[in-house]
Amino acid sequence: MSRVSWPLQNGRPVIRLTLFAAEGGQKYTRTLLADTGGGRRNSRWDVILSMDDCRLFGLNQVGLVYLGGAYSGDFPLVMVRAAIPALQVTCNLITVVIPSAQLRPGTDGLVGFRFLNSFHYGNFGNPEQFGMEPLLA
Amino acid sequence: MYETIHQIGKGKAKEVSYMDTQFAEDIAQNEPLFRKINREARSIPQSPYTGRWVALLRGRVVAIADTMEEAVQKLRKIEPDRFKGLVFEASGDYETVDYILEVV
Repeated sequence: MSRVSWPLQNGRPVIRLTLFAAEGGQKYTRTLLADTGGGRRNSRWDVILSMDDCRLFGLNQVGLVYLGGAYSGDFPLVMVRAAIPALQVTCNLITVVIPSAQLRPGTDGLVGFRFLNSFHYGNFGNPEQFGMEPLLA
Repeated sequence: MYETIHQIGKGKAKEVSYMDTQFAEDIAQNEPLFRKINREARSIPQSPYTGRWVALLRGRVVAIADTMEEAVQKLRKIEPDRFKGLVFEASGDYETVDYILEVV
């Protein structure tokens, strides 16, 4: 089974996603905090990205979501095309759009529990890394 | 770059302060009908919106479809600008608050 792992960043788990520009389809890599405390299994969103990135990657607006906690208020949702090449996964992700100024330094955004929970995830025996594997069929 | 807009949502005035003007204007046009259709679809099983995908543009319904892709396709035939319009699952839960733990 394929597996991909990334070193912790400032002691925190991160994943690297390939995102596709809405116009032209160029590939970009973004490093996102893997936050199992972000949202719920049944949340309507997968990741949180900045407004600047959503201008680049956003395909369509697909609703609004109300967040509480670190990000609070009503935020728009947009669809983005993403991939994890090492896992041969390509998918559309529902993305919460937040003001670029609200992103913490050193991260491009956040991936929530709904997305993480669609994989096996964890350190796979190495406490210095965070990894993902596809779920068994 | 970002400006504050005031909207009527969930029965009370609310401040939304994190969208650029173009995006915010589009949301402000579509949000009241988005909320209304969402409430109707979730509470009235016989509603024509229940279980379907709806496309809004400038505060009006422009498409109802069985899939998101179909709704987007219909919307884009009318408005090619990918930042214009809103496609949503009429019966979806857009009201539950999703908590994000502190990001330090």
